[in-house]
Amino acid sequence: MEAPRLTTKTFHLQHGTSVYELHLKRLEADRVQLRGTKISNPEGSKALDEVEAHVQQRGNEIVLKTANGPHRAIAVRTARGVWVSLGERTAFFEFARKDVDAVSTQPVKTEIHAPMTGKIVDVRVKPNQKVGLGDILVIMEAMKMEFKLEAPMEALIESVGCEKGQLVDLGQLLVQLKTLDNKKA
Amino acid sequence: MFKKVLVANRGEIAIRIFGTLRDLGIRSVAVYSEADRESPHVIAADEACEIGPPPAAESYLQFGKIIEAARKTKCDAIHPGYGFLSENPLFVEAVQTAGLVFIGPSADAMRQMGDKGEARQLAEHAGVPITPGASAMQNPKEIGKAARKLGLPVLLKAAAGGGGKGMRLIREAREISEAIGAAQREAQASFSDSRLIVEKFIQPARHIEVQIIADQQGNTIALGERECSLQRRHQKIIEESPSTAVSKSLRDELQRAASKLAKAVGYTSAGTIEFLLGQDDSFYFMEMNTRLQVEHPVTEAVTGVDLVRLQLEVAAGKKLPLAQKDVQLRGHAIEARLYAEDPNREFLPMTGEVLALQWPNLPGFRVDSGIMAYQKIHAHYDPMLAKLITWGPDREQARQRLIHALRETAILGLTTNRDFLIELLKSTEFSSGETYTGTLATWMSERDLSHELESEMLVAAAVAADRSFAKQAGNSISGEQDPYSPWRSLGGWRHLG
Repeated sequence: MEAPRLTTKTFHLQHGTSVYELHLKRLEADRVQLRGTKISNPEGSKALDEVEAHVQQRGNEIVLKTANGPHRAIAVRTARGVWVSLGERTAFFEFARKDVDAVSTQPVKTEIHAPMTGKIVDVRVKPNQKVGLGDILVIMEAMKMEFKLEAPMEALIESVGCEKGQLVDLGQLLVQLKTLDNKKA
Repeated sequence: MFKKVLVANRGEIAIRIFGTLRDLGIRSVAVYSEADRESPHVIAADEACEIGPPPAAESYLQFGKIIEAARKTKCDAIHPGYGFLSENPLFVEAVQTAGLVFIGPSADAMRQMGDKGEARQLAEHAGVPITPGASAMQNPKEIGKAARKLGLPVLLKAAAGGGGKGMRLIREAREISEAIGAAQREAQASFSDSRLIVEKFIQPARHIEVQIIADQQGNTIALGERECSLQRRHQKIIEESPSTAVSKSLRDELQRAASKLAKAVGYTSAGTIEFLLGQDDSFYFMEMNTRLQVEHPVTEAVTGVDLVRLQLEVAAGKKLPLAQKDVQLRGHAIEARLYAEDPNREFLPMTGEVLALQWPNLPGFRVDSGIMAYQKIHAHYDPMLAKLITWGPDREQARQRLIHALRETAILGLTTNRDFLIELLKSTEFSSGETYTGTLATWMSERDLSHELESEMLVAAAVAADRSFAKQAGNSISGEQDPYSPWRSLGGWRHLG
């Protein structure tokens, strides 16, 4: 038996609009303690309940035993983050920047990216045009279905990075928006 | 019976058909696009032929290449599956001209039923009730006028096809022109035909469909109903048989109407007649799907028949092995469709790679899957990954088993609707059996999305994020030990493609 080494590692994992700052402490070779904070915008930060677990990992299976009983998770680590499936939930946690403060003061989204690979069916806006919340900016098509990309806020169109008929990749910048009440300019 | 059959499809349905061919000792041929070289359906067949670039229009929709592949491999018949060329009468004729058998209805029956306008008229003549509406139109102004005249809400549908493509619900007058534009573009893209029909939108209503199968000797039987009221984007996500709303006498009535309509067009092979069922047990013909349906496994589960086997037998000229009186519905079956999509972002299709895959194993469970570990899911094709079907002696047991099955299903690497399906199956709306076509939208709008993640989930995430942990546990490559990997079940199957 190896002597347990009490190491603590910190991870910043983003899930949806929240960032979890997690401190994983190795109590023994197969026992861990997790403490952490959940930071959300605009709710702020909240301490998470401390939890201890007996852990066994085999391939992508992680068997946990906590005070709530045994749990079996399936997990995969990628370059971008970790996928976890446990019971009725599946989640992707993206490795987040260490600077937690930066996340809690996230700027309002001003860029519209392609949510999928597909074709631009129509571009409804031009640079310098004013748009309201929910106005249609671009219509995309993928898998023979149409999707409308709408303005997330009242804004001014700064630039348009796509044109009708164009094939775009997932994540490609389509439209750049500028807040009307532009204080940070 | 046929010696060798080509399946002009991909994914789970191709694999499912290959299974029956194997049972019957018939050799099988797969076709695949460049994007599908590594896809599971390719290795599920005895032979495989590449037919072109990734876009379906250049591969799975290419008559010539598919028929050429069938000839080259000396097939005597082609099964179209669903989608792609399955409801294209020109393809049926091309297959027959090439001296091959098309496993499905005649081009004529398909043509009559495929045009929604014509199908409505046919139903009316056959004495089957239809929803109030207007026949196929091209001009957007006329469509708009018809919609206003009928009175909102109305439903727009592509005259040339189904599958929810080109379908739009209009509730308010200001949505009319936008909806017509979008529906016509989708109809044009999917069916190269932008004509639409307008129907009065009946609510609350259930989507009930009757499975029929007919042989070439003139025998038509109905195999009970399926309820498919829970839909998103007008595409089904949960289907079951029987329906909680259909009594024995109503079933007899629905089955009689369905058989009557099938006979009116001299229909052969498997087909589905869709009805809207009102709360007062009145029903209206919507459309007929002249092919095998995605949700056919629930019918197979409650009737005990293999629909693909029956399709093959009647296509080969055999008489149906059972009569209407032999059809017995036993127990209850529910199917959930697993999609690569994000239910929290308007069911946006998702792409990615399947990094980990696990299927459950429990009594009364069937999975028809089109994916395997490390497979890339492209935007070129339908985002459906698999269908999970459970059977139980009654609805509640089938429901509990399906929840259980989904809980033990894991697909990692891309966002799927698995969690959403579990939530929906557990909802009071679904468990009560009070499901209407509008139920899902209402439930979605009232759904509480603010669930906190369990602390066990966070522990697992942190442990998975910790590289040294995996190393110390002596593992780094995921998936290798996966007992459910399709590679494991390959056995002696050869890939000759």
